[in-house]
Amino acid sequence: MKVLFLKHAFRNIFRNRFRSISILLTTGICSAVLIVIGGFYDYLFRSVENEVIAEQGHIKIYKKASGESSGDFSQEMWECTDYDGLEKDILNCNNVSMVTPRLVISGLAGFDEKTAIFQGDAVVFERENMINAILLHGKTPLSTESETSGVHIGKILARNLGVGRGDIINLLVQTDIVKGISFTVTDVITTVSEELDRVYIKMPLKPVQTLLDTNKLHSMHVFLKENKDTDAIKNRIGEIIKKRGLDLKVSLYNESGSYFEEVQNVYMNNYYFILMVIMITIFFSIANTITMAIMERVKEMGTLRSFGMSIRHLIVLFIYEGFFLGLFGYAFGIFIAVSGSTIINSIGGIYIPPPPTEEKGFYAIINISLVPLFISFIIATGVSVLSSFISTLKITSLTIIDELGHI
Amino acid sequence: MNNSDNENILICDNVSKYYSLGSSTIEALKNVTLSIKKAEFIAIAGPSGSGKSTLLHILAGLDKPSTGSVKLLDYDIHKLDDDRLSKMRNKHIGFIFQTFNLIPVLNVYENIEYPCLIYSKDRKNKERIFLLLEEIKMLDKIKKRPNQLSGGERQRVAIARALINSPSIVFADEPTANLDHKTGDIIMNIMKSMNEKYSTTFVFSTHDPTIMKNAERIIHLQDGKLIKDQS
Ligand SMILES: Nc1ncnc2c1ncn2[C@@H]1O[C@H](COP(=O)(O)OP(=O)(O)OP(=O)(O)O)[C@@H](O)[C@H]1O
Ligand SMILES: [Mg+2]
Repeated sequence: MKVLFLKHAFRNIFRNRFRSISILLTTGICSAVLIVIGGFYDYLFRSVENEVIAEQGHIKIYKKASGESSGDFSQEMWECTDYDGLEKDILNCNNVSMVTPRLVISGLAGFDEKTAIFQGDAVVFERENMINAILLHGKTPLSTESETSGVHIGKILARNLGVGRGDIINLLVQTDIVKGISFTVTDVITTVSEELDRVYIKMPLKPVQTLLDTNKLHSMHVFLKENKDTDAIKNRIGEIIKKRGLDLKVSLYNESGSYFEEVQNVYMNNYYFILMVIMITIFFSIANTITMAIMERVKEMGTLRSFGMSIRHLIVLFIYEGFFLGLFGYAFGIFIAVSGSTIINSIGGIYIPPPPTEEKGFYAIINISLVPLFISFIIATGVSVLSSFISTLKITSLTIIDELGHI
Repeated sequence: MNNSDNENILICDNVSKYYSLGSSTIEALKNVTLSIKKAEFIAIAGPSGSGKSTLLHILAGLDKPSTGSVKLLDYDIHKLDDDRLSKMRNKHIGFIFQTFNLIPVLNVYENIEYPCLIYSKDRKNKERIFLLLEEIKMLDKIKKRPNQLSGGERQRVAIARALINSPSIVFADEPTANLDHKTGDIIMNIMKSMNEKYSTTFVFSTHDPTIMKNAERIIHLQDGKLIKDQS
């Protein structure tokens, strides 16, 4: 019985070729848009993910700021008696490639007569020389001594202050009292964003801790060799910390509420919006097609019922037709998406102009992946079936005689 | 109930059909009562507008009477829901149209096969389809689509389609009206031979006196009333 209706529905597609081709184009383009945008977002996710991991590591260890209003990711300084031991324990975990401490610091930077607000990280330079920065001058050291005691300064901040490589800048930091320290500028850097270029200074941890008269940190960042087993490693680190009696939080780069997750949500919200527009488009195109098909075949429906088809059977017949249109549209959509993205990728990707806060645009590649393929299959066929079902409901009120009398 | 009642496969009891057009009411059928026995070959005659089509539709379960009832094989068919009545039409009733009404996207074989496959999956009907194809002399055209056939050929296919599930009764509404005389005779002969071979009951309407002559019993309608039932 099903085969019979499938065959009949399939043949019906070819009755009005022009209409079928136009619906095929519509559902095809809609599916292709979903697949390509999905593939494009997939690429963007991965870029952001890689960026976030490159800056922050896969896992961050920090102390959640006390006070009720502070969120999950606000942090305060903490200390432990045996940093080296802690680092060694973490390094012993499988798949861990590096652990590095950071202290967040901000204040006023001054050179000559000029001053500017700065924000920065105090870090172990030997470990994260290249992290979060493209060096203007590169690796040729000024002198071995100043490399480890000097700072890297964001390029806009450097321009604003008029400092260059080799200059000595003064930093004022306020803790309970205002303290000052001087550093040699060893390099000018481009960070991930223009905003950061305007304020960023990366400085060595030890001198800053000495200045602040503390051995406290804000965070430790754990970098993995491979992005896998993150949950297990996170749990293992949690145990290590607990065993040492530390009250610290361990979080993954993609934890809910994290920056990465927020970015992902923005993209996903866009995607849902596009998804909705496409669902509506497919819904109305199919509804239109099936409604026209029903109108053209009223008499045939009467004939089919005269030899035993029930209204239920007729509905199934039209749903199959809608399903085929959706399915073939989807297949055509895969073809458009694959050929389109092959062309785009072969010419190096789509140029994405820089967002307002950033300087450089970039080229995005389309990674056609299974999830958007699956989503667009469900949308193309599911919406088509639903739409044809709703369109057929009006035939339930027709009598056979009405239908047979139809010209 | 007496014995002769038991032979009736169809009983049409006091059937009327009204159409209301605005304030006026048209009575297409007025209190029609008749019964039909197995293997009868019946013509329904009457001038245009006398209610022939309306009566056939109601007897075949395609239309509902305004009052009265139709019993086919002891089922009060107009009391059945759409699913059951559809199945009834499929198994026990055949209908042949003046305009043939074949499914244009299916070929001759598939058109004839269609009614067998609606309620069962088995394709064992092949033998019967070929038997019917032979009877209607269409064996050489089984792969042809309806638009590649003449009117007479189409009507022959429609007859085979109406007979494929071995129904108890076949209705035909002016089956020859769209055909020339010679072709009309061929159609009547096929119907007659099916009637004789398989004891299938046929009820057909016609204006044409030469076609009417084929019938063993003629029911005359006028203005929706049964005015004469002659055997
Ligand atoms: N849907 C309808 N609405 C209103 N009146 C109708 C309808 N169908 C049929 N009638 C009327 O019912 C009467 C009987 O019509 P019917 O079609 O049964 O006649 P007929 O004997 O088959 O005529 P013909 O020989 O022209 O086919 C006619 O007066 C017709 O106008
Ligand atoms: Mg008529």
